[in-house]
Amino acid sequence: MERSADRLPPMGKQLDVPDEPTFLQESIHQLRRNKAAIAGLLVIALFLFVGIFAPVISPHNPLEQTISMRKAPPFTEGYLLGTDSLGRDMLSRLIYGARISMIIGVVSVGIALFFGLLIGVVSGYYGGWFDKLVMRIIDIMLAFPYVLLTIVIVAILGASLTNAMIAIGISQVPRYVRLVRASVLAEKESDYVTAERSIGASNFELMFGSILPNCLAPISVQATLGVGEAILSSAALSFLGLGAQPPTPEWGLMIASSREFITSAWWIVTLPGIATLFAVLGFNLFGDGLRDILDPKLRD
Amino acid sequence: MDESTLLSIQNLEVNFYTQRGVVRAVRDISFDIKKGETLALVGESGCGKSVTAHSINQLIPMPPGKIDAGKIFFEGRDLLTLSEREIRKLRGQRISMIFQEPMTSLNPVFKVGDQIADVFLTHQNITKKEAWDRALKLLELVKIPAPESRIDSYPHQLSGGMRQRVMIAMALASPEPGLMIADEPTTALDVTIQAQILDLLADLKQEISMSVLLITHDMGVVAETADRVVVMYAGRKVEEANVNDIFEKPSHPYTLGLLNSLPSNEKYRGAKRLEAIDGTVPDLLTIGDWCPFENRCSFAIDECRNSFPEGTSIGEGHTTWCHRVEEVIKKRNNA
Amino acid sequence: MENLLEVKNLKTHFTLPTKKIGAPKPVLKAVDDVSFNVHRGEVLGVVGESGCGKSTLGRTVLRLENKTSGEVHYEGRDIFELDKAEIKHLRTQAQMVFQDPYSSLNPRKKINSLLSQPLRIHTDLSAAERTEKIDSIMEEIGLNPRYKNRFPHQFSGGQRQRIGIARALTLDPEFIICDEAVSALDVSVQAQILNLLLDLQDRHHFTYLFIAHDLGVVEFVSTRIMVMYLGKVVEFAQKEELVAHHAHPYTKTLFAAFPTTDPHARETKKRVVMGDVPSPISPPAGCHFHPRCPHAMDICSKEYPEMREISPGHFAACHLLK
Repeated sequence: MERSADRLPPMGKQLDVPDEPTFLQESIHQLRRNKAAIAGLLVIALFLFVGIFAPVISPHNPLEQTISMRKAPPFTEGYLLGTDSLGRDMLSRLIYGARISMIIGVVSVGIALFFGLLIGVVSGYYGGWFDKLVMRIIDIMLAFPYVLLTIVIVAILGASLTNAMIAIGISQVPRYVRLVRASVLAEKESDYVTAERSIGASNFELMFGSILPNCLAPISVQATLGVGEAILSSAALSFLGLGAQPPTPEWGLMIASSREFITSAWWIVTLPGIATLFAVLGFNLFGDGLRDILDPKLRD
Repeated sequence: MDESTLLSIQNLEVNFYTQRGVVRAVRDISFDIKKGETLALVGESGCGKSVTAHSINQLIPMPPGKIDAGKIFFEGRDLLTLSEREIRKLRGQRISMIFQEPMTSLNPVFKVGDQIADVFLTHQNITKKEAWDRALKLLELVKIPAPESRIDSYPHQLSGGMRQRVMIAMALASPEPGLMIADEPTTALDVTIQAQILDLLADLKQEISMSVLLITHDMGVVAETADRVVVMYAGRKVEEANVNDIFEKPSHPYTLGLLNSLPSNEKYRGAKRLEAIDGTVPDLLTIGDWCPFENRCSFAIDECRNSFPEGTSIGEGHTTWCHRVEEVIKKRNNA
Repeated sequence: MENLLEVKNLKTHFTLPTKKIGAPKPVLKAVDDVSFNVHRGEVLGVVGESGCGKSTLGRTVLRLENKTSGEVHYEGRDIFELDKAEIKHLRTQAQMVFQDPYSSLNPRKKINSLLSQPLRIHTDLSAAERTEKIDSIMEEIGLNPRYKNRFPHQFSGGQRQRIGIARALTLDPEFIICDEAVSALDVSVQAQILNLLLDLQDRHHFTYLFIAHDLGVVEFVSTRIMVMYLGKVVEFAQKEELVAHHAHPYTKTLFAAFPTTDPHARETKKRVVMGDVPSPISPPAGCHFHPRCPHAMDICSKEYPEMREISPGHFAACHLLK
């Protein structure tokens, strides 16, 4: 019997495959046509840049208090966006706040994705009692108002920025579990999964090597939007004193501790609010754009 | 246009303007359908047969599609010059369409009777009860078993074959059915059900004088139902003849190749291999003014790479578009 | 003649969720007491319409689906009694080519990755050796190896089907199940792929189980043909014998319904095709075909007919053929 390892002569004419763009090329092209998504992407890029290079671009130390310069308005010499009630430079605090928000977004969503995808894939793939148990727990978690859930978890763990990130991450787990489980249920019956099973692929390889990569479209949209939500949630928790603690320059905390100055020194309260607005808006716009790109029906 | 011609498509050109370029889906397509005639538009995927059919009813999404040239005369009027309102009046009244997948073309939340009656009510001033009575008569006409109870069913309660009968009933719901466009009507059905539907269409042709434009890739279906055949390839018409001539005297390399690709072809009794056509369909984005079949054609010569052939008349109503007609006929006669 | 595969009284039933609370769960008898053998080196064609169970049969025979009862013996060993390592070995001997070229290849994997996956799982070949093998197989099935860094969606349907066949070839199997492998292809491409499958069989001495609903294709490609209806085998014979003397009324219906390419035949062709294909969830009692059978007798609605050998090598299950 001939073994295929020996070079057998080719059979028939060699067929030509037309040059078609890859998924990535087409996605970039689609992205370019969506102005809102580009705007969102630019905003995200700006905040990432600011966050990463905070120590370099920040004019002052965000924690340094200059009592003589308290409540200085914007465009004061040396303090472009003014100072807060303790004489700390607003611009520097906003810049470092961007870094913190970035970390919050990435860590919270990271935690949520890790556990959410793991549980969702295993649950969807195996089904049975595990799946039923998981879904009931998810249902219970989703029955709580989201903010209340984060508050409860922080209350258990103790008020700190780290615990706030963990709490937000855990609260976001249910949506990823549901999302990926739905995709897995649909994909696991596909021919390509059966085909890979028929060549001997293990369950692990099927779950994480084959099925999961095909479920990432709705998840990437949700994750992008989730970052924006995480920033807002952290702001809410800090506002309630359950997240970042003073003197951390976290935007939500900055707003919370300056409520009393809203009429006398509006910039102390408003500027962090505007920063939060733009950051979340950026993620939302990009996330929506991502959804449009990844939805095959809307493609040309 | 003479009295007996119902539909006349002349030099139709349809292009799709996509971000990757212009897809030349239909090029210079012309054919006529007479009253009471069944014309089969035959070809494989991408040949442009569906696009041609959808152009008649202006169902092509524009953008990205665009009818760049041609006329479509229906009973003397150029459909491409009509407004949306005027087309809508014709749709369902004189030009009806049945599709491949009846489950997606029937509305799942309405009863079957309602949907047929709707066609009447949209176009005529009759009462709901009258519309239902006529719907029932139509269900009888399409030989649905137990029509009095079926009329109250929802689409998902019916089998594929029955849904297709309902679609045909809807297509006939007009005082004088003119043209029925059937786009792969039996492709999704089991072969025994397909046989029933084809029988039904044949019976209806006898009872109602109706013209049918049949879109299909299945030569067997063509042999069973068509009066005349137009063979399309990569957007072009390559051969046109009555049904007997297409099967007995195919005169285009592609038609020959298509018939040779059928395992049920008698020549393959006891044969070990099929005479397949090598290669694949050319990319419609980069297709030029040459014969689109040349890269797969065993008869191709330099001329074929330069220009699309003129039509050569072979017999009564039989025309082929090929530079090498004589060689093709010789080969066919020797085979 | 050696039997590569022996199937005895195989049943694959699926329990469906109830529609009404308290009602018994409906059972879908996809494969209902099927027995047959596959000879080494032959092409066994399995033909039938939707709901006949042929696809489920194919999957069960490769242990891609759980059986409900019965036995499947591959080279003498019961495949449902194998341990994990033996099942893994089975996968190198028996492969499947799937129907839909658009869904049987993982859209997120490059061809290179798809074709090297079986090799990574089962062999110790180095990366270079794997590439060498993939290149040779791609050439063999008619695709230039330089396209192995592309994704499935960049190929046409026929080319994807070739890739599916290439994947089945990577492990040098002996037995290949073609589950409607050409049904989703254009006629001209179908002819190419049929030729390819036959050429590969000649070279590598494969045994095929060829599942299809197109009678013309099955007739051309098979050595023996098995006709299925609603989970059961109704007739089984050598191809020439079945074509010349189809005995079971359902087989006759199938042949009568298949459109010929002779326009003159339409006047003389008589159709004896009635009714709809019933659902395999609640098949008719007795012989499943009796509601549609023009020759149904009293006994047909009561008792399921046994499979009888009506002439050497030709089996049918029908009360009329006693």
